[in-house]
Amino acid sequence: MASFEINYDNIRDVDRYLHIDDPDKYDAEIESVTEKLWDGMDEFQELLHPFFTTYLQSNLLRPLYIHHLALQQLQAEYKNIDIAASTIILDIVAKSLDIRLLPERGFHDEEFFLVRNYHFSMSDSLYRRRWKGMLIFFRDIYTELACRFRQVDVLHIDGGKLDKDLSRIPRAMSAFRVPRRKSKRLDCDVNAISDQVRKNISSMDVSIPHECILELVEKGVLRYLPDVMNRIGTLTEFIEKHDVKLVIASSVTHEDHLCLLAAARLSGIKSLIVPHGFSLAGNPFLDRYIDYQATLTSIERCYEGTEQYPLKASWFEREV
Amino acid sequence: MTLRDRFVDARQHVQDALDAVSRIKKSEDRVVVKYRSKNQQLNFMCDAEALVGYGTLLDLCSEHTIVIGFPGSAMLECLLNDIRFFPFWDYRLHQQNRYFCMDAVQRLIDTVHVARSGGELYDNLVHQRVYKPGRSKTQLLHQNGIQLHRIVDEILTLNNKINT
Repeated sequence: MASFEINYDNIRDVDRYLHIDDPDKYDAEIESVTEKLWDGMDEFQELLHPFFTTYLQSNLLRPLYIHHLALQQLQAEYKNIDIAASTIILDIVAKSLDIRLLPERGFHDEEFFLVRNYHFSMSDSLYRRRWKGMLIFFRDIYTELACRFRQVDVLHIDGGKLDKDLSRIPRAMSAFRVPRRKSKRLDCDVNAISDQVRKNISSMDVSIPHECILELVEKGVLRYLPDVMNRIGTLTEFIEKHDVKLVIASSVTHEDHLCLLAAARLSGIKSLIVPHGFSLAGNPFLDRYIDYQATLTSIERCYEGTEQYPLKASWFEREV
Repeated sequence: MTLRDRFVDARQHVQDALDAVSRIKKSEDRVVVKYRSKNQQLNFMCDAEALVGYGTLLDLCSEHTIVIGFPGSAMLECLLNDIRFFPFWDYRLHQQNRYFCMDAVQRLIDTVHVARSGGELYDNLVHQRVYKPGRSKTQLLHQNGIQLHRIVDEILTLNNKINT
């Protein structure tokens, strides 16, 4: 049997080797992993339920399953497989299947949408650069001072295209301007939550090794959990201190937006989601999590427990 | 993505669209594949002329343009501007993905013809089928839409009344 090398030219073709009889079985399994991820967290279970779930099932777990099953089949055909171009997922699978990872291999996570940028991340590159850190420090002081003299009724996050619509709301501010700092508002043990997630995964009945899922969840979810909890805390503190009345999120799957919705829930104020585009997708774990939803069309998903508003978005006013 | 919709399948889908176009195109027609990002281009590389940009689709269009693509924001933007948009997406492959709301998908396919294969796309192009019988662009957007700042005002006023 010949050797096979996964390199930059064929890395997008690896899933071609996936041949399975019952794909729906694996899809159901992936849905079950995400559904049960936050089980057993007491008061944080409900709060965290929408977090990372869509990203995990669509961007991370499905490629993990596809690559694991595909490479297993490749192994049956080829005696030696070398990986010269990789991703976080290919590396995990290779280690599990004992496939050789070439030390000089390149990583292409961004190309496969395996990297997510979070504004709330305290360890991001922006903070690591001293002069940018200084700029953020002074901007935070300015925001704090400005908010002493100006009432903020609404906190919002623009997922794209909504700048004009959001700018027309009086006494509103972008939640991105809420300073990123250590918060003690949430009385939670992040390590205990992470341990519970690991325990949940380890007890699941899955078709690929638990270690693969655990490593992926470690790198794609748990790594960000301290920052997520901290951001929920800082946003909650801001809402309570400044008597904010409403939050507006415009993405139902991105954790920057979900932190804002979670903070609204914790502080007992209302939340509204608005679309920044037309989508057939959504976050199935936001039912009964938010108060109001604005939609562009009657086609879109409507979340249970929300009061509906028909939206006229200014980006549709553009003409050819 | 699902286990039925691998990367190679998605890339084939793009090629199927180009094949359908090549069957109907005249020699003077210009075919452009518009990508949202450079990474998207890398992942769905093809032989056609390529352009990359976010939110720039309408800049490329005139009333003579035909657009083929996933039924998302681009579809609404085009159809509301009377640009013929032919949605192309095999939604059957995504029934096991909870991320997609199948009720919403059903409402969509009750409104427009969504081609699930290259053959269906070709038929829709040849017969210029966009809307389902009795449907038009008036069903695409809420006719009674309210501007966001007015929605916010209504919510705040309502909650203010409840609290006082």
